[in-house]
Amino acid sequence: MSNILTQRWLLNRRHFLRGLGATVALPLLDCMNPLRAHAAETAAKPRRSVFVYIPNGVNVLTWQITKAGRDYEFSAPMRSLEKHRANLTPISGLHHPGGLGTAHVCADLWLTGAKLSQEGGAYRNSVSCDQLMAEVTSVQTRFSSLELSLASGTGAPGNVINTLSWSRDGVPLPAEDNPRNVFNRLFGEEPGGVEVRRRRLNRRHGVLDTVLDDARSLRRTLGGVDRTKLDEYLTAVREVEVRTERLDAWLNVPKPKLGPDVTGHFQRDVSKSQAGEYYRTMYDLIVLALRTDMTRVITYMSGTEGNGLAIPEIGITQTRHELSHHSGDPEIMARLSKSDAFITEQFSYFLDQLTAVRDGEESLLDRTMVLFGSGMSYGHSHGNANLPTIFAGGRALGFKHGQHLDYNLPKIKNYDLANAGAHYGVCGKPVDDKACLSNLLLTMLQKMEVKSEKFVDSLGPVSEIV
Amino acid sequence: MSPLRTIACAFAASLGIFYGDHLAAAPTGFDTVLKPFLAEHCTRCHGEKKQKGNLRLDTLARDFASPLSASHWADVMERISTGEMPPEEEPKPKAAEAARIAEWIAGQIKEGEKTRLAKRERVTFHKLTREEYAHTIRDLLSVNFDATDPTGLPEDPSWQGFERIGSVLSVSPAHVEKYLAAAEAVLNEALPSAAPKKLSKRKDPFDLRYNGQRPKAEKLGLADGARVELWPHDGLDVGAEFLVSGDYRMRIKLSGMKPPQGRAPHVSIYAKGLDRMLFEQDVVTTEDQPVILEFTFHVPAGRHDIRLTCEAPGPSNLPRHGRYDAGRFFTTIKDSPTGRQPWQWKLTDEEGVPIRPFLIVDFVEVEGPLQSAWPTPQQEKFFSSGGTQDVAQAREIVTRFAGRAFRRPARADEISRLVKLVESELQSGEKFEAAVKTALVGTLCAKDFLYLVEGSAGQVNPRLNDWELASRLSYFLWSTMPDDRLFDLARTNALHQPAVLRGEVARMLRDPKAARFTTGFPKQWLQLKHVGMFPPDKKLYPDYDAHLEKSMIAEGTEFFREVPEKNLSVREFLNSDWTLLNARLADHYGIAGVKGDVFQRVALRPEDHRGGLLTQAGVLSLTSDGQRHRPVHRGKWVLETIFNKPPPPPPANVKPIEPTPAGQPKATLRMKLEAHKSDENCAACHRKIDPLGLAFDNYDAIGRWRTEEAVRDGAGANPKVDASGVLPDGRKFADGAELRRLLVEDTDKFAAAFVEKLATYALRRAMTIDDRRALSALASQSKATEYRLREIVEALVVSDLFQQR
Repeated sequence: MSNILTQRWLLNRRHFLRGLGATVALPLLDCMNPLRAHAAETAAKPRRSVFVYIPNGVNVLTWQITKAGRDYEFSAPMRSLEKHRANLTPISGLHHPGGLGTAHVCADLWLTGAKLSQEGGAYRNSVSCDQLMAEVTSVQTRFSSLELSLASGTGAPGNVINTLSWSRDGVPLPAEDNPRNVFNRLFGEEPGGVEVRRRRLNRRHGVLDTVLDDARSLRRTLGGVDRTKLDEYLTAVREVEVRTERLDAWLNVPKPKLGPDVTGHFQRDVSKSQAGEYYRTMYDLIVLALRTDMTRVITYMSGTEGNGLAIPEIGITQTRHELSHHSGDPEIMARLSKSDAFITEQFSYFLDQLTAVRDGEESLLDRTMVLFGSGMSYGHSHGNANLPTIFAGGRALGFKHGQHLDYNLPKIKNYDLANAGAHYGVCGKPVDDKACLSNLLLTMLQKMEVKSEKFVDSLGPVSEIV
Repeated sequence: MSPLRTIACAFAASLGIFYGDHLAAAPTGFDTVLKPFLAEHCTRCHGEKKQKGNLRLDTLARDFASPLSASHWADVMERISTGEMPPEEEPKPKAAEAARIAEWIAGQIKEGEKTRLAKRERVTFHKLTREEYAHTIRDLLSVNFDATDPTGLPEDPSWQGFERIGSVLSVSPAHVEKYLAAAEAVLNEALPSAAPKKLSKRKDPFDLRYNGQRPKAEKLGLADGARVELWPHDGLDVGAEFLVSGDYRMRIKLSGMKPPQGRAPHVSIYAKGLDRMLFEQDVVTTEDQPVILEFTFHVPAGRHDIRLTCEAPGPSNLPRHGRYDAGRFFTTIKDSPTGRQPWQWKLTDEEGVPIRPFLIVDFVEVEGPLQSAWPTPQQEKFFSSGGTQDVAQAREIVTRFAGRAFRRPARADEISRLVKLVESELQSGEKFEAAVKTALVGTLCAKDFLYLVEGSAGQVNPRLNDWELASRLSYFLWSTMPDDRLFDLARTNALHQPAVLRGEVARMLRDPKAARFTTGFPKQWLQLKHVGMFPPDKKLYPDYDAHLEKSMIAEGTEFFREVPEKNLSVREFLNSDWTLLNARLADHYGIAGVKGDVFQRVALRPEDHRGGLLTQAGVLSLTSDGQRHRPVHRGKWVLETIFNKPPPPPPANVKPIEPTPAGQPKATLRMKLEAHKSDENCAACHRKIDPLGLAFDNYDAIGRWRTEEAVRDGAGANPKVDASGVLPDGRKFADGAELRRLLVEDTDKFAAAFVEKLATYALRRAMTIDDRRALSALASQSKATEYRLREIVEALVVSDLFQQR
């Protein structure tokens, strides 16, 4: 019975992928960009970044790759990545200094690197690196960035957050969890012709102008202090005004025409209880968004700290949070490893799709940097060092892959995974305190042409992969 | 002094729950508590002469409200509490001593955090929560806005359960986009540009299931007798195309068949795309006396997939048993077996008595929008026919609307900005109504609508004016904008007079809108949102379902509501000989005699093992992890919620609890925890947390009473539950019931904590050291009124604390 079901989805998926290939043409048509239509500059090829979050860390005893360098062997849960070896670099030993000992806040700061306690109890995060990238890429695309998650909205900052993205004001950007809604937002057309839509945008612009004017007049009388919330509101309204202007500029450019197979694929109801199908549909959506150049920056929280999907199809009925607090129970730990392997397989599927889309000599993956990892390593005791991290793609941007980059081994010499306590120690306290995750984020930022020499506590780019 | 005594003193000094008045004691302990410890253990290496690791403690700023120095102190606390510092070669402080210092620092940090959270600015902006937004829109425009739908507003973040803390609620561009879309949608519904298209549709059994059988049935003369039977978990598509957004009415005629010993069938109407339960209820009737259920709901325009389901716990019987075929229709269970298909025989025994809960449906009707007059009453009100349709009329409309939306008279500059918007819309060729509507969208996106704004840039006045006071009061008790009477009192500047305020509180609590306070506050205070956050394992808890979960949450809020309604004391929250139950929950508790879905007051006997909030299934399960109960989390919840004393966070890298090796006797979680507590550094804190949780070990992960703990690992019989314990002050208890009685003895401590929670909710900010005097006064005042909740609310509202910023 289940085999029949499995094959049916395979068939549907093949159908879908064929449809996608037939209807969406790569390379991207740069002349379609209204904001650059008049610019004389030679269009640079796009640079893209995707961030995928693993909730609650992993079973570090089975996840850890034990050998550094080029002839490393993937650990069991990562085996599905073997075919992408030339396109990725697993990294061991990274951490966020601000994340140590923080429990589930680690998800809040995975892409911000903030030390939240330092920012005050009123909980203030700082800008996430994807949003800095979006500032650079947004002039090129219809949507500046896309925030996806297993759970919609922002969730509760400092507790269970639903998004990886934070604005410059440290405000969480609500994420979307329903592939159909996202698809419709990206590719759907509003009713009425161009003129009706333009009128609507004008009307919105007028509204935003009016409320901005009102807020600014108060801000002037307040002077330099006492205006945190007011500034937050002002920034948000101003940003929407910019987006409205951008939408207006794009109005004359038709959206890509997608065939009924593609559209149908995203109009289905995909229940989260079909974990694999749900993940793959979200990854399909990401690939489609990149491929049509709707946006170049995407964050995807594949699970929140509170709800990393249970995977009924392989007999796992607990969420990843429950699995991660395994109390040393071998059965639960085995299930956690199985769950790790499963989500890595889905990620591998994502890389398959990015590789399959070709743009001349290059694949989509060659111009897309993909970071796959967690803000936690050993979930049971909330260990936040030696973070699970896999960096993939971006070869055409100058990245060199193929090795396991390990910051622990130079100091600890070898991994003794039979001694669980010792390895949990490696995951609780950084072995190399210079091995900051921010170094990697800085490297990505620079490759996205964000002019920056430092990101939060970074010490410099990761020289081993560039 | 014996070691035990030392520990007890340490608890008293740091937590002050069971003795000492934590409200009165100012944190003067730096010189007396922290400094001697630093001098003895730290400053030799981190002081004037040496600064190992570049850290100097004797000059580190003592300002815990400063984020920077507070974070340094947090590091210091972490090192001390994990035993990392002082290092091996130095003399070690006693574990209890280290714990005391760590807790003292933790307390200061918490205090500093609150100070920052509550920082008062000249003008304060408290964003409306999405729930308040929806209520306000309803009062303003008579339109229901579905804030939690995908087309609604983002979820609001919370702080310690409270979802309305101004400094925590933030606005991002995505919020603004949603506000814009929401404003356009609600105004289009209130002021439609054309008469709304009506929907009126009845689906009979032939539409619902027996597609194409109507002619045959009519020929046989059986068309009127056809009905649709629904097995447990079976459902029907009752969706429709809703051409306009609005309120609709659904009517369902059906019978609900309950097996004599079994659960009642539960009908649920769920809108899939909106992820919203439109309606649900137990239905118990005889077959030949069907009932008509009727309810109204609001949906945005569009095709909505709506499903009517027969909910019943346990595994589904489908598709094994409910294998109907559309070619044969069902009429009755009476004339068994001739009138039924073989699979339908299994619905009842041979006497026709149901052996499982099922529904028999006759029809489903949808009708609406209920507001179908056009122009709508709102339109009449706004654009009063015969108006001049010019800028003067626009100005008049905008002035009136903004004056209500901003919850104060609109200022001239605000009005002229909005009128300018109307003019520019008119210039763009828009008709008068459309142009004005745009200005109204602008009003609903303005800061003064989206935020409760208090204070002004010009003058620094800590006291609220009457407009601000009206809003604060209204959002406190009603979660919506002030009504006409409150506005009138504000206009005449009479509201702040204590006698007037008292009268208003009494009036407001009598109003049905007060249900938003009596459900909203307990939900946030008790953190009932966490119920079901980690869904109980289906295999371990097959009885658990959405209806039970909803009933668990409802017990908390219904119980809370009863207290002001019957003018009872907050003492009832700690222990009571009554509660409110519906049939589902009574069944869960093993209490007989409760029928129906409506919550009703039930007298509790000692053998029911229930009373107060602490034994409610919702409270007991919200700390569970889906697999098992978690006594430590329960204890932490009691400290936070009942005593407002959250314990410090655990240090990183705690050793896990080992599973019981095969062959060893089964052990309760408590036994495993005891073995785990060998580490003195952990034990010092856990001695305060754990007894408050272990006392409720007689209740499993979903709050059912038990005397044995079901354990998977190990050999032999399930171990007996031991719920006894000792409070840090030495008072002993044998079980949860005795602990509850001890807690009642401490009602004054609880009342103080409760007042602070209530004030946090009402003032939408954290309480700080500056508020302690006022809070302490309110707490002692509550004692004089026998801790009655109504009087506590009243005293809070007339206090300076409430009327100041």
